[in-house]
Amino acid sequence: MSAAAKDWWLRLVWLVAVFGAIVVLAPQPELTDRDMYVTFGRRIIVPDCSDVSCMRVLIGWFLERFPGTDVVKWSTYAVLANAAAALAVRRLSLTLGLTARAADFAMWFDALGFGPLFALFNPYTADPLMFALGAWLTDLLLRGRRGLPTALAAIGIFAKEFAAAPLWIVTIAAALRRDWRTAPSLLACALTVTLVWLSAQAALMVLFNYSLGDNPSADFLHGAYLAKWMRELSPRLALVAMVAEFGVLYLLFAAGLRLASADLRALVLASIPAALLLAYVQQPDRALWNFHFLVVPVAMLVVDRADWLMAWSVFVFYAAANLRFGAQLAAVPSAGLPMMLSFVLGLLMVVRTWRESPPRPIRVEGSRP
Amino acid sequence: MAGIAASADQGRGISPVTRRQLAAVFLVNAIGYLCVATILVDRGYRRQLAARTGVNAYGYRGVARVGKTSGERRLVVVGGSFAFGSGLQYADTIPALMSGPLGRQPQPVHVANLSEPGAGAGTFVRALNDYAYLLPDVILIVDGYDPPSGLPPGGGRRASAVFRDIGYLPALPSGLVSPAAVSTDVDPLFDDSRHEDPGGCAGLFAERCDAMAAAVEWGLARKTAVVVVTPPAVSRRQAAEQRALLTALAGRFGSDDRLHHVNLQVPGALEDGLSGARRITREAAESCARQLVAEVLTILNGR
Repeated sequence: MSAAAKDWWLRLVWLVAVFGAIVVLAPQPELTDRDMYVTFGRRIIVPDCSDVSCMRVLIGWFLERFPGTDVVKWSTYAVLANAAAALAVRRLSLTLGLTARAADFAMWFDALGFGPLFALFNPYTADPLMFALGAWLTDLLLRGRRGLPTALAAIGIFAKEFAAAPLWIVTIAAALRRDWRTAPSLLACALTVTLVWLSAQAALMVLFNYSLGDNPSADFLHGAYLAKWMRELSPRLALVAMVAEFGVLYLLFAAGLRLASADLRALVLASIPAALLLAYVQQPDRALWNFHFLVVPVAMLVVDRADWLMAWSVFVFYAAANLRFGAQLAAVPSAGLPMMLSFVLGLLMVVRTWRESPPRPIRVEGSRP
Repeated sequence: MAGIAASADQGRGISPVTRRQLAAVFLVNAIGYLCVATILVDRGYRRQLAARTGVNAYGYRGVARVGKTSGERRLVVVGGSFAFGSGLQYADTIPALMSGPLGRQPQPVHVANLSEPGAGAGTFVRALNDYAYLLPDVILIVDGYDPPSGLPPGGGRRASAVFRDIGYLPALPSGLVSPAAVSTDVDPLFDDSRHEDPGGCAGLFAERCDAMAAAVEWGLARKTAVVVVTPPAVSRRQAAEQRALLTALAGRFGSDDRLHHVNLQVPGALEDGLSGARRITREAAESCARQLVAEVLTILNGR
């Protein structure tokens, strides 16, 4: 086994161990989509199904192939998919030109972010797989692969539609960079996956009377899920939920954009339409974590410039807040203080980075000036 | 972007996508998107049409269903113009009036009206076969006024190849026959001015009786309760035909307690419609619906 492979396995073991411990300590959620996903998994096709999730059968179907109770199977899936997501973010960070140190930080900041930890608390969702696919597909596309990411996304859309988003993001980013050499093939991939999704939807509507039902996400003209979310949450709670989503990463991300390469900036810009759309049709505080694979690497550009103590201090407070907010661990003290401390240290980090003589954007070898 | 992709391409030795391959992918996509767009437009048009006519995307009147959940109970109605409710607003038709009280039962009963305007008894078995997937608990077979060999205008839903193949009735391009525009052709054999002796089910009514019996047999063979419904008679000859039919069915299936009969002889039930065809009045339709609901609930709750 090569040294790189050994390192990869070691990281995987660490991630699985950490996630496993969190799953064991996390309380049981009261309200989940367990019945829906398990039913879809057992029956694949549910005639007259009227929900936006009707086509999200992949994970349920896959997990049904294994013995064991639902909670064990779904928690194991959440652990492994979250670990895959963190490893994929590390790899993507390297592809995007970040240093190995920054990529390692990216992996851990990603692993102990709100999204994965919430998915460990409530594993009955397609989110962990989407977290992994988002980073993995983007990395494959940036490395010039076309067939594999298209095939993976075409399968992934049967877990959740977001699987098509990375293809569109990379396509739009290529267009923004006026990279007409790669944009057409990327567009072909994105169109093909979207067509697979639309065709499956249309076929299920025609053959099995599928419909979107009265799910607020489908009520596009009246604010979709965003309107429902804002109605049900007080403005204060909505703000807390949004801040908790990325926490200090918001700050680091904003500062990191200044340091990011043109390629990375183009990717961020290209993800805005998808992020707005997803935040509109889905619970916004959970939807935005899908874009972790861009937010985290950009934020790590700042973390990478900080010294060891500062960087790990921010990480520890950030993770502590998320263990409470995301994984809902009762043993962890209130999230307010660690979050505040992570913001204070993050601000210090940003100021220090800002003071450095004009930041030299990181340039990926071979990219345009 | 270009830099990352280009260096990776060289490193992995991936052959670039040729223009011809790309063109082929875009062409397939264009065709695919066109098909999907057609289906989505059709669904939208169908929704509008269903709101107007009550006919859903699977070609029958009622809330569209293709599956059946455990504990769900289902009633299907087969018939011609009378059962379809030609000349009436959908809400005023007998099956639609039944669906309210049946749907409010503790264990709701879903009503699917498979009737088509102009459809004779000869089409009933075909309709039941087309919708066998609905797995009915009760079948109402309405012995209406249309000639037994009668067909819906334009061939009805079976004129659509898509419907014949997959059971979905596209709204495009022809749309649906508007129920208000359909006139009810009464079987000439019901004309009292005719002099020949009809001779019951062994005589001139043989075709009608055989077709009705075949539909009854279809239901009973599937262990389903069957209710033969005789509507208000438009003539003495039709009243005679109804009696002959019931005698023939009793002779053939008499021992089967799943076979029931409801006689909808409501005085003054029929009036002249705008198109000159006779149609059932709103009051009579409500009365008929009440009778039928009572019978259906007796059957279902007595099981």
